[in-house]
Amino acid sequence: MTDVIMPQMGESIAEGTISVWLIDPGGWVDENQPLVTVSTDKADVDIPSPASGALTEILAQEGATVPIGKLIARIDEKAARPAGAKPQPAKPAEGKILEPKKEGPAEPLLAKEGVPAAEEMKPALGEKPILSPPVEIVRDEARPAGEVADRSAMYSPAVMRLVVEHGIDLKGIKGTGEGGRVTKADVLKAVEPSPPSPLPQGERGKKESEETFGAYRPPVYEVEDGDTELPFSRLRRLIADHMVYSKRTSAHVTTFCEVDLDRVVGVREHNKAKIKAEVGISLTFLPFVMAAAVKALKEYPLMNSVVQGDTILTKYGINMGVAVDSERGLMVPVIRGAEGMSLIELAKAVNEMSIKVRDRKIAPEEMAGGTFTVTNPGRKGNLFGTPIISQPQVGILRMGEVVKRAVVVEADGEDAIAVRPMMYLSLSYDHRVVDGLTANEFLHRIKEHLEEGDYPL
Amino acid sequence: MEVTYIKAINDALRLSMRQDGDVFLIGEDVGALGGAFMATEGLLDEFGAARVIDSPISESLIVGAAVGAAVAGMRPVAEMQFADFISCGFDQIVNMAASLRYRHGCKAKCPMVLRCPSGSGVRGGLFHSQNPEAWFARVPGLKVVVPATAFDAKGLLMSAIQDDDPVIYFEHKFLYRRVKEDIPEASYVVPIGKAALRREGDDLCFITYGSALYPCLDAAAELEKEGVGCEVLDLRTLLPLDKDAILASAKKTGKVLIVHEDRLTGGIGGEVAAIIAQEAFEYLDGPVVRLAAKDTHNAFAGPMEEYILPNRDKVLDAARKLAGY
Repeated sequence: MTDVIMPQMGESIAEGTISVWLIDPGGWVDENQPLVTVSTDKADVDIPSPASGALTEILAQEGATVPIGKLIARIDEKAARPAGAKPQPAKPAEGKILEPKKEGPAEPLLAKEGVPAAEEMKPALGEKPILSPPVEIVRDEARPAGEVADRSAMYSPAVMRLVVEHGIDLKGIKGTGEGGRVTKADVLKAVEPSPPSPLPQGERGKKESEETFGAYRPPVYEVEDGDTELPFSRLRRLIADHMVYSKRTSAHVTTFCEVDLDRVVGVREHNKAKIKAEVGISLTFLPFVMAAAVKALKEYPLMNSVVQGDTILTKYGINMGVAVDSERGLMVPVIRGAEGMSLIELAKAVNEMSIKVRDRKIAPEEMAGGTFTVTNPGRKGNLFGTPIISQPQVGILRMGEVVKRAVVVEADGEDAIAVRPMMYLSLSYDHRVVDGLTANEFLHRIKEHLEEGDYPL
Repeated sequence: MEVTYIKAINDALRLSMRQDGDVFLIGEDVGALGGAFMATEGLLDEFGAARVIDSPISESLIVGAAVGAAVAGMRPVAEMQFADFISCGFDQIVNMAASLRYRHGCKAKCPMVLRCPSGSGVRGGLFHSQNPEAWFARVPGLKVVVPATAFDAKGLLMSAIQDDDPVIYFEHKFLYRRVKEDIPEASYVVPIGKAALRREGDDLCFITYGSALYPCLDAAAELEKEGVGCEVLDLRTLLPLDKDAILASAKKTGKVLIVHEDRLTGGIGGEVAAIIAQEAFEYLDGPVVRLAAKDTHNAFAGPMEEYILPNRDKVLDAARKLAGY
């Protein structure tokens, strides 16, 4: 039996796909006759048979992808050659190939008759040696090879540093390193206080919580008549863990700006009825803010990033999370491809998502993959706030209440007092990724876009 | 989506060319053939012959043309068909590209990337196995990156193309189709100059890059079973070196084994060892050990190549010895 293995077909190839067997199962194949076509992502290759015989076993079917070196078939050389099969040329005995010929270029140079092998090349008497004389090898210590030197009194820089730091005496420490050397780990073990004896069963839980939270433990409240107890739901637990994780992970900084929504209100009032009639939705301020954020994200792509380990992944597409309150808790559906959406499309998408959240029809994948988030926590009593970043994003924009306020505006080069619909926007950003200058400019651009009120419908 | 290391390179080129009309490719067979290793497959069809240029067989011409285009405001990505032949373009790289900023008081720049398929372990013989990164890792004005994962292959190439300095990007032939990984489809960058800690441990640290990462990870997993906690630091960029990461791992563990596939003498491992000896001396609890290819030309024959290159067993031997010191 001869094994047929998946051959190496190119320097970078790791696997090949069996495209077609050129010989039927059980059929006869001659040595070097094409046996199977293998395709790689570089080329299709016909693999020659390594032996003559019957293809008795096919171990990788057509379409299978097989790593280099793996068995794909077996050929039985002892099978009877069917009548009509081509006679194969006699295969030379294996030993014969390796046997050096008496003459010819393939002959090893040093074995040539009459020429001594390298180790026999000695200078003739009186001639200078061609090669420099061998250098005597001197061992660093007079001891047989393989024996380990005594290192019990040899201290590494790290060990000496620990001696200075802890003021300890090395004499009492038994070395576990090579040749009895005192290792850094040996010193650390010696200076470490001995572990406390195991706690009695009842004390264990208490001890663990102390270790987990440091010295602080939240006080325990008694349940009294009229109180209600509600264990965390799964969603509540997810929100809680996500928020605590985010606070511990990101270096939150929140920055604020004040926006004059005069023009946005104008656009909204002018189109509200028309949009309600044509598209069937009430136009709110949220899509305006989202559209302004999309414009600003394109100008400051770093804000549209996510942190992946120690890498900042700046996303090209903008998937905008929109925080929506629901009876079960906060949900953040994600509007995909926001970079290409008009104001109306954004408004429609928000509306669709809100309905899905309300009807509990939102799928987990519709809340994944966000690259930036906008939150609008309600209309009343909400001047401004400091939102927590949705991980692993680096920014979240929060809308405040829209309130009419007396502000100083410039009209015809003169300062004047006007009544304007004003809103505070807050941006929380992750200072690990974004620095203050970028974040402030980004927020300022959102303000500018909103105040320009340029919304092609 | 799971992609190979070479597909990640192809994706990075495609996305960069879509995003920036100044990015173009030049090199031997990068166009009609799609590259000797198919790294540029499909790009001629999408971007046309003006942006995917098949060049004559002349590395000095390829680099020279790229330098000229970069000075004129383009972002060329030039390919050396094999990194082994980069020596033909050496003068253009070290005397022209690397010094431009310096010669013109920072008023000129050379935003060029040289993609260089490098590395052994593929039975490629003397002319198709070299790791020439150390020749360039001491030239001011250049940046040298050596991705080991598909994620880094894409992110570092996108970074390199956006960088305003000449970047030599060594891609490892052995890893092309052996490394498969789930990576984002969209654009992203991996910062140049930042090492990646692939594994954490207290007792010993491997400092490595490129294909040598994998035997180090294997050895670290094996040693963990023997009670030796191993840290594995993947340098990813050789110029500039991430000294902070190198020193942090050296100080934490006190025992450092540097592993690379390039030759020992004059390899980047010597520089890493010197940094540690000078700046973390008081933290060392054993000799800084280097394991690299033997100081010889690479062999074609399989057993000889095995003998010359570092591998899992050699790494494990050296690490066990150092851990026991």
